[in-house]
Amino acid sequence: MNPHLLIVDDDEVLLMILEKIIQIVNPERKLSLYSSGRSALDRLEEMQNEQKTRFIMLDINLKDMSGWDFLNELEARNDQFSKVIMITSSVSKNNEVFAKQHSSVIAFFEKPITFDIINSIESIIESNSSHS
Amino acid sequence: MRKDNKGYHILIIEDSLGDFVLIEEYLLDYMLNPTLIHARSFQEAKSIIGVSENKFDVIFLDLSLPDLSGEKLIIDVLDLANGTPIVALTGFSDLEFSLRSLALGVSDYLLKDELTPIILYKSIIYAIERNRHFDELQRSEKRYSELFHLSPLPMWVYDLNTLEFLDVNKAAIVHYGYDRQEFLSKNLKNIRPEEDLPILEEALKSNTHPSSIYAKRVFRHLKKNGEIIKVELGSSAILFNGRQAKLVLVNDITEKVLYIETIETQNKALKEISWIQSHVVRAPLARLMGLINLIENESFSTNPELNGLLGHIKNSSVELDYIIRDISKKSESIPPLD
Repeated sequence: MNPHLLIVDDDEVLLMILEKIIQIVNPERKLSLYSSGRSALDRLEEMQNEQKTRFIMLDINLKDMSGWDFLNELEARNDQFSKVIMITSSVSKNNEVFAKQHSSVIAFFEKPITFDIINSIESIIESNSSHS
Repeated sequence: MRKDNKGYHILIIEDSLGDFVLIEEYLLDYMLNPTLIHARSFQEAKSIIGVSENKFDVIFLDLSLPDLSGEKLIIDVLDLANGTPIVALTGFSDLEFSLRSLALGVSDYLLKDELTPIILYKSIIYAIERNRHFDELQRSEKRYSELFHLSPLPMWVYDLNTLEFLDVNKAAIVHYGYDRQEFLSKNLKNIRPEEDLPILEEALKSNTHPSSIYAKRVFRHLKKNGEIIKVELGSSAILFNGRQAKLVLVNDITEKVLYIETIETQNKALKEISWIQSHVVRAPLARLMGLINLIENESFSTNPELNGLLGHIKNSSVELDYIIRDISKKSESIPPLD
């Protein structure tokens, strides 16, 4: 089983870093990169019929919307198959508190993205897809 | 019979020696040792009262003296007496005049033909007691009046129906710049900025309940020089010379409000700076740290010098990250206002 991982971040350099690290950690991982919240939401809408668990690494500060808007829209669709891993560059404690109030959020990480974090995310994906 | 042994000092202004002797005789019936001074004319009375050692408990005044009589006599003696009670004596019955003399300030009015020792004695005791009570009332009134007029905070009384100022204290006169006469010719609307009149109307509507003893609110007031101040008003309902009125205490909080606004502006700027630290500055730093992490995993071990340099860059980024986290933590620990 190789669940799809969608990465949503408006920082192109960060997308490049993530892609490289993930390729090193798990070259088999099926990856899609999105630099806007809208493009990722559109894609997820298309995927809704697939009935397969997918994972989204979501940045809180996007250019076209906030990560919270993204979550609200996703939850409004009653999308049970999208599991969100929040990634933030800010160090405000409130973000984690807000994130945990969203049912679709399964994990929360602060940048920088390191090999350790990607390893953690890989095992989270592993454990969450085996239960679904 | 037991006689009153208080040492009364009594001045009797009476031109008729016969009447004086009669009064003296009557007084001695009830008093043990009064000091009786006899003045035969207004001028004589004037010189006796003028001597400062002469303090009288009561003054008997015959209303027809050779040099002065009637209302003019009463007014002049009242003036000289300086608060000493005066009992008027007259040989004829004139109800209207006796009432007028009481209105002028005479304590009592006795007809010589109807005098008896007991009437005379009672009249003295009543006059003295009433006078003492009146003195106390005046002192108490003065105390309250001073509380109003000497208050360091501006105060005034306004008519609840016409909104006219009925009384203002010195602090109000100094603070608003109107002199007393100007103030008393104005009403509440005149010390509000034009655009605040609806606020006044609304406040007065909710203010008319007589039992609203003390309601503090903030309003804008207009000084004579056109300056607008922010004030906190406390008020309570009182009856002022028979008119429904409100007593108002003014606290000028213009400076305080300005001070708070400055602090609020500064706080807002600080919060923005903290937000920028937490969200904006850290984004490129996080990207930098991610890049360093990536480079570390590519093999650089062949070049120890480059590895060392990379270590320094990494330590610097970690240090910068620590600083930003510290700033962010400090700003979040500021308790919010209620």
